[in-house]
Amino acid sequence: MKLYFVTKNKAFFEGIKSYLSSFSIQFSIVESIKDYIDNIQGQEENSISIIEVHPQICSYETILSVLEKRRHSILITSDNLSNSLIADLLLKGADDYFHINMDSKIIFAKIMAHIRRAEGFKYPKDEISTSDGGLVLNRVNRSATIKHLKKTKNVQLSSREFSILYILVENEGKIVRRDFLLTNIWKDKAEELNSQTLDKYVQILREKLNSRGKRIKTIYGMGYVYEKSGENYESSHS
Amino acid sequence: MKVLIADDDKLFRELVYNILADAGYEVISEENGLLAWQRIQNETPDILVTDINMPEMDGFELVSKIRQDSNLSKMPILMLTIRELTEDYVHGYEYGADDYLTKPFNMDIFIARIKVLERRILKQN
Repeated sequence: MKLYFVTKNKAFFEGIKSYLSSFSIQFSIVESIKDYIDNIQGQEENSISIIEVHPQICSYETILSVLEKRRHSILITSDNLSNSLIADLLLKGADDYFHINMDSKIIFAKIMAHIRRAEGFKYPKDEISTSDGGLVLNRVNRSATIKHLKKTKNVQLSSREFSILYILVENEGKIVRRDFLLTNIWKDKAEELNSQTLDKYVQILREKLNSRGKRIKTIYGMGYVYEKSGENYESSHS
Repeated sequence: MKVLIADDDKLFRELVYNILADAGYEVISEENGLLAWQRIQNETPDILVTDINMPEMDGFELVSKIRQDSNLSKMPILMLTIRELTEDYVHGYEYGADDYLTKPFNMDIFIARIKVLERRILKQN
């Protein structure tokens, strides 16, 4: 997957790029629509373009001609288009529109929806469980349930605690890197975090999950793993 | 092109119904997520427009169920809701919405976004 940006707003580009840094995506940024048209030819397949409509980058008339010839998803952004022009662009071929100053978390979620669609509708499962069935996580109601013999116990988790646990259980038996967790959960706030913040969340998770929590192992210098039943990580430290 | 509206607000449901019918769509509607889910099983609409806050089954669960169903997973979905917090948008897209609009909405933008979803169906076919 390749994302083309046509914008002079480097901060906007870098913000989106940092959000998507954990995914296998190539990025390309150009500041003029002419450079974009030269670059995109023959590269449309498996690509999404995000074009800023702005007098110094791409005029309204030019974007209409780009949309007319488009063969891939084109998302339009701007800081000053009227509703009637936005509707017109959508009717004439744009796949989406967002204000360039929209919350970057929303822009990221929109772009991810387009990427998922382009790559074939891969959505996370509503409910996942550990391989031994002892811990069940439901993404819809964000609940965690511990199952032991015929007894079940619901564990109250905050939104971030749940998100961390979901990623660890989804990757059970595999090491999940710290930077992956930070980028996926804290998004653009990840770089501002105290290095111990994630450790504190994991510690709380271990305590709330009791014996199940002991399965969350720290892998020094790398991240965490939710250990599969019967497996051991010699380098782990919890 | 058949559009299903799921919304528990009768007045709003009728408003959206009339806008879509005037734009030439065949429109059906249900008052909550569970009834919409049952209707989808029987009639397989082309596009879903759904609210989030609804009794019985909310819009997030409805969207999620559609995305988990291999026969329905490609159905274009637009969430139309009063919920405008960043986390609501993000959850909407994460559960599988193709688009997310907040109420009150601009009618031209709404129809244009429905047309985007319609174009996507025609492209798939």
